[in-house]
Amino acid sequence: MIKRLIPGLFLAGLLFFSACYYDNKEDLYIVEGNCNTTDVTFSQTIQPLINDQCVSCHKAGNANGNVLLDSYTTIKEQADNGRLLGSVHHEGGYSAMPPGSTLSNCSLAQLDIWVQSGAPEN
Amino acid sequence: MSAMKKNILRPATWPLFLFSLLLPLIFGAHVLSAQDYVSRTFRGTRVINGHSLETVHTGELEFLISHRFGYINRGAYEFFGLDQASMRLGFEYGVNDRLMLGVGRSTYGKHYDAFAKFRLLRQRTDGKIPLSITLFTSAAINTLKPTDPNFPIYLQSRLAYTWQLLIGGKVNDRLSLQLMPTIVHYNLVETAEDHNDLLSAGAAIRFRFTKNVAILAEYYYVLPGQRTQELHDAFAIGFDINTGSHVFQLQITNATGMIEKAFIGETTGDWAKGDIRLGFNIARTFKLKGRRY
Repeated sequence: MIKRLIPGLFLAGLLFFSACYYDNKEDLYIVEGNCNTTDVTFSQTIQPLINDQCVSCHKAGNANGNVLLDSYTTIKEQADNGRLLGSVHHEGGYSAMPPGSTLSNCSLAQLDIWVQSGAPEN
Repeated sequence: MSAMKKNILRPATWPLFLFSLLLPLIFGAHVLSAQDYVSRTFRGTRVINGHSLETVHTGELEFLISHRFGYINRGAYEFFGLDQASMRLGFEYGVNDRLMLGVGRSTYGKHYDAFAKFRLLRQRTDGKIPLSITLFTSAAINTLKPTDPNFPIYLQSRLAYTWQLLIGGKVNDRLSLQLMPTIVHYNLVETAEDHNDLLSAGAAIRFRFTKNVAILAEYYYVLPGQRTQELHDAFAIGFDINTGSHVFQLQITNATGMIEKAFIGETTGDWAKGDIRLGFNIARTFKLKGRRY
């Protein structure tokens, strides 16, 4: 009898201890204006962001989805054909990137600004 | 701490808590022998993406490999999506005829998940109990590195939980049906308008047309108005092929993830646009207790 109770108690515990939070990104992270959107450049903003977030799966020899993001030329190509913004904004028809997460609103805004200004090499 | 206090008082958690108190009693119930219950309503522990009402037998360990390729609409250059792949590896164990525990790890979101599945009610061959009900609970943790140093990710923000009732049964020897009312709780959502508790209802059908081959379809409907992003309901259709100690499932679906929080609440693929993935699940069963094969 006791043996039969153990799994039940285990399940009960699993239900009881799963503490739920009700957070959302807007309230949890109050943006304090530390997002630089006035001076977005390829070398200072975009390339470090892409190196950090994208290059490990999009470099020569490991071009997932046949997308390369390891140089200005290849990044520019994806910026111009719309896939860069389509993917990071998780738009329909594009593979949502990065897989399983979303870039921060700040990074998204910086990418938007850079692409909309013609994706310059600056 | 204040967040926890606040949340324990939320009405949504009360039915679960009360229900959890009843669980030990259910385990004390009289047990009939195996042949009194309807078996193989579904052949595997998964319908396609989601769980079926089946659990693995006592003392059996199942090794489950699930695979989803890229979108078919990417064309011949990417070999119709086969250049990309996302997978989940899982181990699941039957503690007894009613309880099954499992763990898994997914490529998507680098999620680790753990779940418990418990058969509350089992359909009986004599018709006294006309359907089976299985309770499914799981927790999944996203282990991706933070994408922005300005926004640290708190441990609790990485967690999501699923509670699901898998209600169904064998209509006849060939046809099985299942309904899946589901709550997925996300500790962190995008905006204040997004619901942390995502309500959805799933339905699944299985039709067996030869001894070892069956066709399956599975659809999860997410109740409208709960998400601000554009998401799509997960739909999948596939075959399962039984090869003795393996179950091989071949399917097409618009979902990327293979755990509830991912395919119910994070599916961005649109069937109408051809965002369809080819995928397969392979389950291999190892008998750890009792007579070996």
